[in-house]
Amino acid sequence: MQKILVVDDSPSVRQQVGLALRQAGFQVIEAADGAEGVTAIDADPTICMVICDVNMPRMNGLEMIEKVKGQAKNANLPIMMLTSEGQQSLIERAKKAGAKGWVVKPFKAELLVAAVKKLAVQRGS
Amino acid sequence: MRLFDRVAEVNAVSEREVIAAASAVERIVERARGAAIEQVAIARTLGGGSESGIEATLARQSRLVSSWQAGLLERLRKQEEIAIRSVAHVQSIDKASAEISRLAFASRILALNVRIEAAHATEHARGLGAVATEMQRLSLEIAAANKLVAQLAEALSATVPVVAQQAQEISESVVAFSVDIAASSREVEQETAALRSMARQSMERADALVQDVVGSSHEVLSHLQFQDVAAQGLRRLDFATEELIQEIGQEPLLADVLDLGAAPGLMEIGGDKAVDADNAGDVMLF
Repeated sequence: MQKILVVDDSPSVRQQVGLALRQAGFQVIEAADGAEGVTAIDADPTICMVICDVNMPRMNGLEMIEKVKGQAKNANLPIMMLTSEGQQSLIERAKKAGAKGWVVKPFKAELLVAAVKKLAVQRGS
Repeated sequence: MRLFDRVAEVNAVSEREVIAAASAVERIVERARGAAIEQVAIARTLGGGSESGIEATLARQSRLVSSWQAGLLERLRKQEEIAIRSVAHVQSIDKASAEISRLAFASRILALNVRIEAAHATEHARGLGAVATEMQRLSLEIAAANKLVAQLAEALSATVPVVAQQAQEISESVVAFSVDIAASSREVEQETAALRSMARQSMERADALVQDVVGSSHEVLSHLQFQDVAAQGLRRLDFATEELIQEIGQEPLLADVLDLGAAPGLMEIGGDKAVDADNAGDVMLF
């Protein structure tokens, strides 16, 4: 079973994303901000994908992705941003840092799951 | 109560309620999956797989009856052959008995002749007379034994047809049973075919039910997400208010905040950044 890390400071968002992914057959672990997300990725090499909010305390999502992707061992780890932000400048920054997707909240569960399945397959192949 | 305390309280309450609602949705989905799994298991038991289920059990029973039936008919056939051979043996015994009777009669005649010759002969003839007497005695014993054999043959002769008749009746009964079983088996086949169809439809409905429940849960989730968007907006409002306080050096009245038009977007959920309603739900893959 593939393991996905969900990083968001909102417990309800983590719960809702987790629910959609578990229904689709994924295992889900959670982190409440960017710093926790970096720690979780360092500690667990079996994480096959990350879904990450942008606006978070301590370390926001863009800072997290830049830190994670700065490590060679995470070059193939797909990270998808899940946020209410839609500014093109933020999207470009995320893309440049290595993000593989951008989902605007409120998300549609079926579309989110389809995107995750696609990115997880890309990583697997 | 200060505005930001109220904001924090509203966010906490709404978050709690949303989490509880999402948990309830998850329980509904799990129960639907559990019910669907049970339904599929029942359908498989009725409709059967290759080795299990009512259909497979009835098929094994049918094969068992057919096998027993075939074995019984074979035994009856052999019994009939034995009966026919027994009749032939009885006929042989009759012939043998007739021949023995003829020999016994010939012995008595011979003994009588010997006695007659002995009566005309000398002293020597007394010995012949004894022989003749013995021959006659043996002849009588042979005749008695032969009579017994004939009686046994007659009894056997009377019994064999009865046995053969019974075998014939049993055979006819088994044939009639076979016809009834075949008709019953056809009925069972029709019923199991209908059961199999119902089982398949039930499994399809179970699958559709789960898909439907999952789809509904996704719909609920998309509505529950308003809480996070609203919470972010309220936090931005809270932050903007804090900045305003620092700017004007005192805590503003709620009326002052509501009157402010210089800070664009403060009145919109989302604070200075409106919710990207046009692009909500969009997924972009790079």
